[in-house]
Amino acid sequence: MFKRTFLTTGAAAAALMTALAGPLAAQTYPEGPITIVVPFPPGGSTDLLARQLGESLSAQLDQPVVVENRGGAGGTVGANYVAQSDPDGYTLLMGVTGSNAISAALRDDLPYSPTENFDPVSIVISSPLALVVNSDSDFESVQDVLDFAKENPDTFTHGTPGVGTSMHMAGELFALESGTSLVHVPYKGSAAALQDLLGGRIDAMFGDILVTSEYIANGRLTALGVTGTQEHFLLEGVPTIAEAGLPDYAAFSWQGLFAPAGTPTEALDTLYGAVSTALESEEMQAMFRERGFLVEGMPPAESKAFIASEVEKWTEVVDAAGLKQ
Amino acid sequence: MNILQGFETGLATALTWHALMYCFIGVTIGTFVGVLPGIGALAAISLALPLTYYLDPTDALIMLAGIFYGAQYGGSTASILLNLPGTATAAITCLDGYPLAQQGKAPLAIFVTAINSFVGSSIAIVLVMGFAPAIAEFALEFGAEDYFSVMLLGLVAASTLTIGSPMKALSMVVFGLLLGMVGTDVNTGQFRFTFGLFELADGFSIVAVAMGLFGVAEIISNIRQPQGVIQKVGRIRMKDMMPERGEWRQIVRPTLRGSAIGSFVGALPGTGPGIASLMAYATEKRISKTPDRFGKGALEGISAPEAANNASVQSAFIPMLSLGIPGDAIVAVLMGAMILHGITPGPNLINSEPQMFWGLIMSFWVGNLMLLVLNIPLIGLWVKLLSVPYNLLYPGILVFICVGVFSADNNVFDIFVVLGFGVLGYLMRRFGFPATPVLLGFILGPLLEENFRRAMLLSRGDASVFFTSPISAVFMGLSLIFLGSVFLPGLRQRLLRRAPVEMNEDDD
Amino acid sequence: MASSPAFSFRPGPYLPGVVVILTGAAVAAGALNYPLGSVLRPGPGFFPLGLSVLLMVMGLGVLIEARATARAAPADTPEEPFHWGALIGTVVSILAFGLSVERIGFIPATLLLFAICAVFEGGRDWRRLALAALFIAGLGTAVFIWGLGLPLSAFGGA
Repeated sequence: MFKRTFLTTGAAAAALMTALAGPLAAQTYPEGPITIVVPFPPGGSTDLLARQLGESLSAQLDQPVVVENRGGAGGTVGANYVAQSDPDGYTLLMGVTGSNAISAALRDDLPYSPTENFDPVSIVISSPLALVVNSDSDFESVQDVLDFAKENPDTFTHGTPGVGTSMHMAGELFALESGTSLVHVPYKGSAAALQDLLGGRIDAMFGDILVTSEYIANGRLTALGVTGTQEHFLLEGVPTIAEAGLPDYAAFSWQGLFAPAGTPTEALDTLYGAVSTALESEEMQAMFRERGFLVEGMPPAESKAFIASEVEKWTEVVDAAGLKQ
Repeated sequence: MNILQGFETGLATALTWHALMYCFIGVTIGTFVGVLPGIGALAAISLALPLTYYLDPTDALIMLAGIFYGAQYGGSTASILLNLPGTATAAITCLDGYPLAQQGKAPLAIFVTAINSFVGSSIAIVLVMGFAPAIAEFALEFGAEDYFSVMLLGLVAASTLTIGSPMKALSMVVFGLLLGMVGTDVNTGQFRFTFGLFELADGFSIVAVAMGLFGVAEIISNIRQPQGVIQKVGRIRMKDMMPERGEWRQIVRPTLRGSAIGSFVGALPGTGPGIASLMAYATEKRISKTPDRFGKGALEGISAPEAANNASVQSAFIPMLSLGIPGDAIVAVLMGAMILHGITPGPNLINSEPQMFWGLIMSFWVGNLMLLVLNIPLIGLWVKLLSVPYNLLYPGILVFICVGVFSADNNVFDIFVVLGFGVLGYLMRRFGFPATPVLLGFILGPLLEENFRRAMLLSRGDASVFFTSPISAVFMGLSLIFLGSVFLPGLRQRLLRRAPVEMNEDDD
Repeated sequence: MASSPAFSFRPGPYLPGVVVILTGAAVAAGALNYPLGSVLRPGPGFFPLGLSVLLMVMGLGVLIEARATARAAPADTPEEPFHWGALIGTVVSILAFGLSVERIGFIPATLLLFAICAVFEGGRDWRRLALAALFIAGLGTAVFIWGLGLPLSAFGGA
């Protein structure tokens, strides 16, 4: 009886301690403004995500959250800036597939390592791509593309916004898994690639779903498959590439919040808690639906493992395609 | 919706008090960032974009677009008064604008560029209103080989810009082309000439190159010149600004030609106002009966490029609004602004968002009128800047240049780049190498290479595409005509008739 | 610095051409590090190599031109003095600004830039210069930091 009371009291006390310690700990971090570095110029999807997330974090943590755009070299300049910042939880990175996975696979001289120099807070969202062709073309299904590419090696052209982008990697993975060889036609940005796809000068694009969906609705482009693991809500009725003939195929681009390696766990947990709350808000959900994003909200440890698996996956693809710089 | 209905809808949108207010704010910011050397439209729009997150999307776009075309008005002012371009695209206006200022005609020159800008913009807006979808579809016909040929024509035109030593000018074109190779090779992802610096992976920033070669270099040559650019500035009267009848006649055709060239170039995605003003200038010089006056204060030399860059800025909206394809970096940011307001520009925009489309276009008229009204009284203010002693003025200009290049990527690295190009620019001047061809080569080089290699990739190594594609063939032909008519006889004449006259400084 | 006369720097008429040729050679050496490809399938090294060779040819042209000029007009053309003071002053002031602006803030960095310019200029009028410096520092803070939100502080590190 006594014992039990003691235990109960002890438990209650412990609970009380935690309850007290919780807010106390939360009060030690953050004590000042938090900066989220966006490694791209303003106006892009990463910028928007960072700003909306930042607004919610600011309200929850009761500290100003400033978004800083430090663009350059496909996100690696900004990522490197954060990698070298103090790991105190006050400088964070809105990292993407390119800056925090593919670039490590692609470039030996990358001044930072996505796995070693960052502690992820959370992989926030992911978005699959769509394999789109001009509606005037003869390709009507993923199987058509596979058949054509098998019979005509080095003939099927796909445009991308540049070497080492997730669109490029999606194409290389497609070639690798199907045992075909496609012609990669890199452009400076998706707009130029889209222009040539609409003009009928390239065969296909592994494109951003949001951007291409306008043309698909308009009937100028046809989506043959999505690169995700399930049907995408902006492209109803379009099968996944895996369903349509290439069983194990899956490629995503994703965006996540990263802190420099060595950031106190307490700060990471506080941030992760705020990110998860933010992701549940109706406003964020609406924005994600509009832009075709899938909500991930992975916790820090899971995110870390995910990054390692992504680096591994793209390293294989890069090596197989002989793209290593 | 036909044009008349569109007109009505658009006016109703553009004339609401809030649209007028944001339009005014936009064009005012635009004028000032245009005048200030260093910070340009791209940086200003990028920085202002987050401020518009809470505005109505149409208002936000009206304001941001106002910054874009407003900067084209202001850009020429610093070129004319101080021989340093306010924006990278206004570099070509230095060539004839500054000599005009030296002749005491600064108010006239600024007034003329305001008129040119207005006319150029107006013509392009009419095109956007009437033919945007058709023009955009036509632009879609341009493949890599066609782009290559257009750029080649630009390059050929650039090589006719030589004043002074032709070999020095041509070597600077090549040098500019090489500078454009620095950075990531688009086709393979290979870093070229980056010396392990990831900051150079996207190449040198055009703002840093232009501000260094023109701005910082100009300052170095001017410091400690006892006179500097100081001029006696009295009250500016309307008479000083108004062109005389002969001068009006001089500028009419160049302005119209410049507007046409600018509208065409602007509608092609991937080009930009820099290429437009260069081509317009080269064309004027080529068809002028007195090409010798160019570089010495020819009104045509400021009229055509100013009309062209404003026209190109307006027509750059054509591919964005009717196809969802942004033509250049600035329009891409504007498109980002639309997307984040939940409007994805695409082929349906005109039908699905008529209020935004027509409202924006009508705001172009409103904004350009505002700019005209705003800029003419400002002429007096700007010209008064000349009475500030140079030793007080130039450190301030240096600060603006530094902060301007910094603001592009928020990276101090670009401050050191601008410094490097400033020193280079000064040495070049000192030894009679002109800077304009470097800038032209720098703009055109990457486009030439990228499109050549893409054309070869898509044609599987068949070089005949440059002549079998009709569009490319036309531009190839134009290049040949240009080359034949200008370059060969010009060079022969120069080599035979006289030793080339060194042009040490283009400002004395 | 201020009183030192900008002495004349006469590098000889052939230096510019030689510098152009050397630049071309240096670029060519760099370009050889990249795959060349072929004319119809150029690699990343193709254009830089071709252009650098062209630049060397142009450099030769500049040399020939210089020779012709030297013959036509023997070297008695008055040379504009080389502005060493202005060059070094500008270099130092921009370097100082670039290195310090993220550490000590925009306003101190601006004042520093003005001060260095003034030292090299031999500032006759410190009072007006200080006013100009304060004006630019204030205007810049208002426009860039408060208005446009550049990630710089007015004072202190960013």
